[in-house]
Amino acid sequence: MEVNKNFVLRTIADENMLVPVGEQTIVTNGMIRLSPVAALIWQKLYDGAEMEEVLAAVQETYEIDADTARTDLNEFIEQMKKVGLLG
Amino acid sequence: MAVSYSQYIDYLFYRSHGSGIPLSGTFELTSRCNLDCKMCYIHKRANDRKVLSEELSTEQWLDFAKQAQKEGTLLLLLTGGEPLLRHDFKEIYTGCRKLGLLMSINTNGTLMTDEMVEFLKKDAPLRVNITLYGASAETYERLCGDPTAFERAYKAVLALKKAGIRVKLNYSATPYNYKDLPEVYAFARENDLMIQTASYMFPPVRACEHCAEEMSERLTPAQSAMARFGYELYQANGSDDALEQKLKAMMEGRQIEDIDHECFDLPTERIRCRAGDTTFWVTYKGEMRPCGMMTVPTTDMVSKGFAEAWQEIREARQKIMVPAKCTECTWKHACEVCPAVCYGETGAFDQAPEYVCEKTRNYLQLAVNWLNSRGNQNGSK
Repeated sequence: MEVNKNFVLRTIADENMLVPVGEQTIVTNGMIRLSPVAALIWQKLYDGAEMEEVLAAVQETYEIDADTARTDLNEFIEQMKKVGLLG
Repeated sequence: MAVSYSQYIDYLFYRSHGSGIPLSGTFELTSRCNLDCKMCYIHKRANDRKVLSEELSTEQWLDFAKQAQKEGTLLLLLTGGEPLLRHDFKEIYTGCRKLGLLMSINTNGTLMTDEMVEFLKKDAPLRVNITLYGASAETYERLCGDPTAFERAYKAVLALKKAGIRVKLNYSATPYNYKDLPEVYAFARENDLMIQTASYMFPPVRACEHCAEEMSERLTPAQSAMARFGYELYQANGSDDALEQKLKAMMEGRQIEDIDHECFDLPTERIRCRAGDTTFWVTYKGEMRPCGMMTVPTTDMVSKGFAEAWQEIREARQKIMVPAKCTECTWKHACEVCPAVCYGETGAFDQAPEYVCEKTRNYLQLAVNWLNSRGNQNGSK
């Protein structure tokens, strides 16, 4: 599972956003705003982390039980795939 | 939830305000230009070796872009002179894009080759701002000294648009080209392009050897007021009721929200625009300033680095006071005054710029005449 490297994650004034670069720019025509947890997941996946590592990072940062975190993460990953953020 | 791009950028400016984040900036890559416009504040010759030697190198620009990005810069404008004169333009542009910076480019369009359009299409800027100087080769020759620039500039506009790159037109109204405005507006409307007319020209505060030293290179206050009013009529595009409301509000001394206004400045006691608060400008030599039209405060970014220079500019900017005459003026909401204008016109931030006062008086007279004629028309129906 690899993130689309045609996006750069920027965090400015506590706001997280994916800025498209290269040929993705005209396609996206804007930016994608991420919540803090989405930004954390994106960064982990960008760094090449496996699912279990991403889950651990989410649980380290947020108070959430493992089952709920896994379900939410899978849902989020499906969403990212649909919009071309994940390969 | 999707929010519009402009709303989100406004929100980011709001979040950055007061917290020291330089959200938006300008790199003036060169002071050289291939045109020789009579009113321009910065246009050394394209082959000027001395100036060339003073310009920052590719590596320096990319290093400063990296430093700015680290401090929170998201929006970066590349300007000049004519930025496409830089042989390393593509390298600087691509390096900035890779940092996740959203780019805009100011250009006269005459060096925008098909190959450059293709290059930009592959990693598109937010916008290319093309300044037009007339609606004919004759006007270009009169103002810019090059009749061939006309065709090249208009061709560039259409090529960029065809490539799907957003284009905004800028027009600087001067004694040499203001009569072409109706034709230029027709071109903008026909091609569905945004256009902004600068009816006010700064005195040559950054004059160089080829620039206008005489004030005669700009419109008189009355002509400038006409250009402003003409632009507002164009913007209204037949929505005369909205324009009437806006003008009536001005006559009553009320504040008018103008979403197209870039600086969001109001003449209060202290400077209130974004310059030096969330935006910065870096000259071709590496001097940081709050905005491109302010020659002070200024500081050397090359020796200090971005973060220290930015801190210094922020602190200096907070001390700027605007004229009491402007603060107390009944017509302040109809006026285009800003600290840079005060300094440019008078050499001091706290002195009222008489040229602009006179322009505003003329503008208000035009507004009164227009409202009266509209009232008469409606009355006779």
